Amino acid sequence: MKAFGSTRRGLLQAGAALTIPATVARAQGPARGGDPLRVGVMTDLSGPFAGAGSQPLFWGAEVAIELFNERGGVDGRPVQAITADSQSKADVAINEMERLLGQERLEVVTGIYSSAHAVPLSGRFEQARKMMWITSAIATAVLKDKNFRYVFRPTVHSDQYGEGSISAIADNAQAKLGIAPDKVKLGVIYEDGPYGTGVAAAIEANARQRNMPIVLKEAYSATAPDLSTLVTKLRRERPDIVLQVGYNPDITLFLRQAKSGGLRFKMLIGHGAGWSQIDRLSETFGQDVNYMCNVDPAATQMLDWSKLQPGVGDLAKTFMDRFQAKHKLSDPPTHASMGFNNTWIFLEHVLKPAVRKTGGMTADALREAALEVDVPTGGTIQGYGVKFAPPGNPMAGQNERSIAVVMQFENGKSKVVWPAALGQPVVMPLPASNAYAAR
Amino acid sequence: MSAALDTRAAPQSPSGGTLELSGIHAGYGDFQALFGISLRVEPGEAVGVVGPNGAGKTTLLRVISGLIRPTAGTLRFGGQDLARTPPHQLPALGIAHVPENRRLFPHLTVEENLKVGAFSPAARAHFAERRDRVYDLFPKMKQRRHQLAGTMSGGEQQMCAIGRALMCAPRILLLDEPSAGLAPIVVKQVFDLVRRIREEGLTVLIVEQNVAQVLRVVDRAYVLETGRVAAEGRSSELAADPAIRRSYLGGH
Amino acid sequence: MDPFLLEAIVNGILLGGVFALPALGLNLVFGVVDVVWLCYAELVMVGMYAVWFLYTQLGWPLPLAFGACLPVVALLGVLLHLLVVRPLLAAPPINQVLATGGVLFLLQGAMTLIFRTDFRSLGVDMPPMEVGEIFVSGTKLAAFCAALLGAAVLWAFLKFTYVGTAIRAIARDREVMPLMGVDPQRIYLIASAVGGALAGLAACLLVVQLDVHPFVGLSFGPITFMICVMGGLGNMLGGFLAAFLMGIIVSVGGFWGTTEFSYVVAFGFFIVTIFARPRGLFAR
Ligand SMILES: Nc1ncnc2c1ncn2[C@@H]1O[C@H](COP(=O)(O)OP(=O)(O)OP(=O)(O)O)[C@@H](O)[C@H]1O
Ligand SMILES: [Mg+2]
Repeated sequence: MKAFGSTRRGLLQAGAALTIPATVARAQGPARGGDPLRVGVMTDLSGPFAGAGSQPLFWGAEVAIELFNERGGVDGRPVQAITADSQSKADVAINEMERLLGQERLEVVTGIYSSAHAVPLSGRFEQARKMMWITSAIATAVLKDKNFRYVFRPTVHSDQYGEGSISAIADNAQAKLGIAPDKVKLGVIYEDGPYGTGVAAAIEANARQRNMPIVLKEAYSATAPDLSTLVTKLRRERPDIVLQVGYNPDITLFLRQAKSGGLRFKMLIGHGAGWSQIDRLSETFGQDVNYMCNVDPAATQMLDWSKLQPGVGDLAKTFMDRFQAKHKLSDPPTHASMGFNNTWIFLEHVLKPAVRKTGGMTADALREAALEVDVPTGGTIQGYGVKFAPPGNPMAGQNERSIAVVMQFENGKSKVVWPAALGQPVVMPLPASNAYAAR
Repeated sequence: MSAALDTRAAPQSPSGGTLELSGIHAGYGDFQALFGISLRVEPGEAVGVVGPNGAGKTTLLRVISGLIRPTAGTLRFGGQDLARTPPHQLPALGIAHVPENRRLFPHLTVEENLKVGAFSPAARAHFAERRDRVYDLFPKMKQRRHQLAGTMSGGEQQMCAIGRALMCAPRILLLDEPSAGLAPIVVKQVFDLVRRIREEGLTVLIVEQNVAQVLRVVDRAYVLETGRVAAEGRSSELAADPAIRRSYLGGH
Repeated sequence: MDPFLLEAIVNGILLGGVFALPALGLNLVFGVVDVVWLCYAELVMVGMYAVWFLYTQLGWPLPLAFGACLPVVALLGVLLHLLVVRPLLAAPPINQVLATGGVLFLLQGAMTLIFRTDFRSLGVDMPPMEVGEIFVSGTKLAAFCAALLGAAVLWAFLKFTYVGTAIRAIARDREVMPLMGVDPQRIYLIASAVGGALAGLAACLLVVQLDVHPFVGLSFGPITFMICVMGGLGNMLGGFLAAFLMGIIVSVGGFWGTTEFSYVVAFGFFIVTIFARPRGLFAR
């Protein structure tokens, strides 16, 4: 038995050694005087989530911390990122959290790409009375009716995604499709984790409010090897518009099988995650994804920086320059902006005042600072403001000023098409040249 | 038909294929089953090994065909020391072993079983001709060539197992209880077959519990008891030995 | 008949063809060597990367990239046997499972280091075929035909060659093989190479259907194991048939119920099989 035990341990270590080197990489700025302020950053740098936005999420956070330190940190005290790779696995996320809170004795962990991780993690953070600062995981359920006091989410939540896509359709149906909004047939397909389920529920609720018929609503596993039956069923139900909530391999699998399965529609709207990765999708599908839409918080480059609060446009430009120089992406995905912006909000609007006020950074001090944040709309590089729902509110910890926009892919760039005030007119239905365009 | 048995690949060595064991100790892990066995089989001879259950008869054959390495003693065939020869090379040297319980491949056809028996490169070249000769020897096998071996009767399976062993054109055939589990009439057929095989000039070393029958087909025999040679001699002498008669031949 | 149902059945059969090759390879290796290659789907994954790399990065013609994939993965199978399995042949099965499971993580990790977690696509697609009201993916149909062809070649190899016959024999009785002049170690090596080559062929068929990433094995690895157990571990014909059964269950179950439900049905069927026919659906 002893030999067996050591063999197993050895093997697992050998296997693990290759998969976790990313966790030891530490983003660190030029150190100045004072003890470093240690902040956890947990993202998925391996596994399927890494390719579905978690990697740029991390890179964005990295740029935020570097920039913050270059600008002097908090009165000379630099921020030191303690990173963890949750490897797209919930059990790894939990173990890493235990390490960050236990061994590393951190007061705050930022990041958290996936709602599937955020759900189990949030309860533990709350119990340990340490701050969890969610920069990506969007499922409304993470916060709804939980009355958490230590969990904060500056970014949008999934109900807002459903509101975005359904409103965009309703606003444009008559004018663009010649169909009354309550006659537009919707097909909703989503990955079966908390993220997909949460967004799909919001889509359904918003569609019901506007009496829009949903002809098919179906979940699938993001690792499914085949989605052709789903394609067959969609083809049978003939939706005008397909709404998808998915990660990466499932989106490409669906698009590929939809094409060969003869599925045609007037528009396809994605909802973040894999659909945020327009670089990837264009690389794989080229012109086939042209004019498809996605709902997400805006990536900063989609906004007119001159309309933001004073100084925010400059911050956006600095971020973009650094990010592009470092990672050579023509159109950095939304998650890069999310990683930077939501980390920046924490550093600038929570950490800095808390340290200045209390001299330290206990979770309780951070929490109190967070509840006092009041950034007006246009005050962050993604356009939204920041004001957290206080304890007692059903969405306690959620940023009440976050917004999700609908954007349309046009030749490799994303353009905001909803809300109308922020963007330009949508191209709908898909032009006949598109391989998926309904004939 | 004699050609069936002497299309062997290996050339005759000076000592003509004598099998010699001397002072063999062997066992399974810590358990010792053989204690200094010495045994000799001359070319063309038929030799029997008899003894009670657990005496080490099967172990002895397994040592000869290299499945078990002796812990002491020497093992030679045709003058060649087999201590370091891997077991899968022994069929090509002319040693064929029909194991206890036949060990056919039940889910393969009769002919496929023969094919596996002819696996060694030297044997493959002669497959068709040896197979036909096995079919001459056992016409029933020819009828059943495409039948799954596991579906045949015990006697037929024994024929098939012997046929499979003959596919490597051996110089010595090791048989481990070929009559076990067979009906009396089939047992007689098997011993007739052994007699025919040795009349072809093939050397035979046969392990049997069926002492009365085996002493009628072999020239000499060894009596094994708890891993030691308890007696040896010409089969007629052993058959006449009162102690042997009492223990193995029903005491008449 | 409802054309959409018919389409679901056809898709199920095509999907079965995708599962069939890895099921055959896994069963072959298990039957001969008596060790489960837990990392089988990851060998396929490496093969998919090989094709992707040769085709998109080195610009090889696709057939040549496919042709190279088979020997590459076959070699990987041989290395896996020599370096990991052979030293553990006498070890308790749990150690073997843990070792090949370790290789699973190792391959995932190695591919993550080399290619990162990006999703890679060949970007090749064959036009769909429209038969009446049914759409059939040309790519899937071609993959299906190649899978059947591969299975047929494997069958002929096992049926008509000496080595193939010995492989079928050793699956039942390894101890007696030396008496036939067969070196079991050599047969293990050959079976590992053939098992690897099958993974390579599966890689060629999958890389045109799924994006490659280090974790793509998750998409078909677990279901391949379920298929092998359902068909009877080591029973190649059983696994082959179970692959199609599984494909149809998943596809038709998804058609009548939901896509998620279809996997519940498949899992339920799998569990019932384990209890009702522990040696496999097709055990005699
Ligand atoms: N694989 C094994 N591992 C351990 N001990 C064994 C093994 N095979 C046989 N033995 C032991 O070795 C001794 C000799 O066994 P062997 O099979 O050679 O006897 P045998 O004379 O052939 O008996 P039988 O007439 O029953 O076939 C026995 O005590 C047996 O229990
Ligand atoms: Mg015996």
